[in-house]
Amino acid sequence: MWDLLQHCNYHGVKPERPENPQVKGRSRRFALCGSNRFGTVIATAPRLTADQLRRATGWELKLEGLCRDDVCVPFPSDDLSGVDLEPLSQRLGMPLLHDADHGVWSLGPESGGRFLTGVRFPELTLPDLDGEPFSFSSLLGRKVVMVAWASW
Amino acid sequence: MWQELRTELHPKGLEIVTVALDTGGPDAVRKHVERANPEHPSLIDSAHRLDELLGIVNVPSAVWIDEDGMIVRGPETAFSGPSPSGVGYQPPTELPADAPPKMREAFELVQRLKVPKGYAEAVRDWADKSEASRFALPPEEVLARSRPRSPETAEAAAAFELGQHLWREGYGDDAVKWFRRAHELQPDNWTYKRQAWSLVDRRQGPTDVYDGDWLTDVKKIGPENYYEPVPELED
Repeated sequence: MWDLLQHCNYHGVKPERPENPQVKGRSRRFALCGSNRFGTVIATAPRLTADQLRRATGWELKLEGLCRDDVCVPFPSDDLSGVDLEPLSQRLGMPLLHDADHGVWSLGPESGGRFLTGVRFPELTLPDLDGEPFSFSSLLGRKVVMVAWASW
Repeated sequence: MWQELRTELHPKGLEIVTVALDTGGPDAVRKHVERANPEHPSLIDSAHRLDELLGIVNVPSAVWIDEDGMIVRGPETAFSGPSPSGVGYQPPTELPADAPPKMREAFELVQRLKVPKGYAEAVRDWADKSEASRFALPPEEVLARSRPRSPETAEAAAAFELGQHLWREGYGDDAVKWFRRAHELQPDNWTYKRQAWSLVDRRQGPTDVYDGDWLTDVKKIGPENYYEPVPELED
């Protein structure tokens, strides 16, 4: 019934936890994936199912609250099937915008801290001009300079 | 151009990946990519995911990723050559004698943009010396330099995404409201501004739907402040 149109998998961004290739000692402490794995969520209902929540934000709805990686934050709810966007937004510091004319909600990224919460490059798959997917993880073992540009 | 640097450094184990941040998708970027004809991966991020994940606010910006997939330089101004040229954009080197005043003004402003010098040399240094290069930053420094994500910045991302969603769904007029909101919330994000302006006017000139335009907004902050400086490089 509720339809999640878009989450971080949209347009080829993979939310799965990256493989753990051998990391250098100096990097290991900082190799944690943080919230920068996940982007804005567009939804057509003011609620996410537990599965949509997990895929789109990494947070799992459990009896003890919302949990991700090693962190749990209290979230009073006796319904583990899903979560309303408004209390979720407030609890996690994620901005929530609503376009009433189009019946669309936009749940932004967690605020506070910095864009980079760890130094591991996010697991990303983006298409080339012909729509062929390319994964950055295929370049492990090489140095990479990723250049963002635009036609505009 | 990036392709030249790639030809030089690929044998040393370095790859270049260019990513176009373009809501317009392949159609918007095809002619630029075909002209550059790169041997390296050339990708399209039509959802502006990289901006949102890494904190990119202008182009061209580059990120260095080491052999283990760890960022050793976060997003920063990156020009492969001495002139302010992106992958596709080459500013005119000469102004036609009969140029209208607006074009003259834009031309003069572009000449005054300050571009960090020596970026390609820094990449070469890293290719040669790996983590011993003074340009390869320790994780603490990468994180410390990363842009703060304030509540306003996070809300700007939500607003921009809503704008993009409506635009893709065919509601371009309704998207404007959300793009404007993103611009108000994060005024130093040139990517949000220029992407939205260009969807209405390719030249990013004044329109009746947006308060700003490229020339006006760059004049407001001063052309010398348009590209962020890179700490290890000279302006």
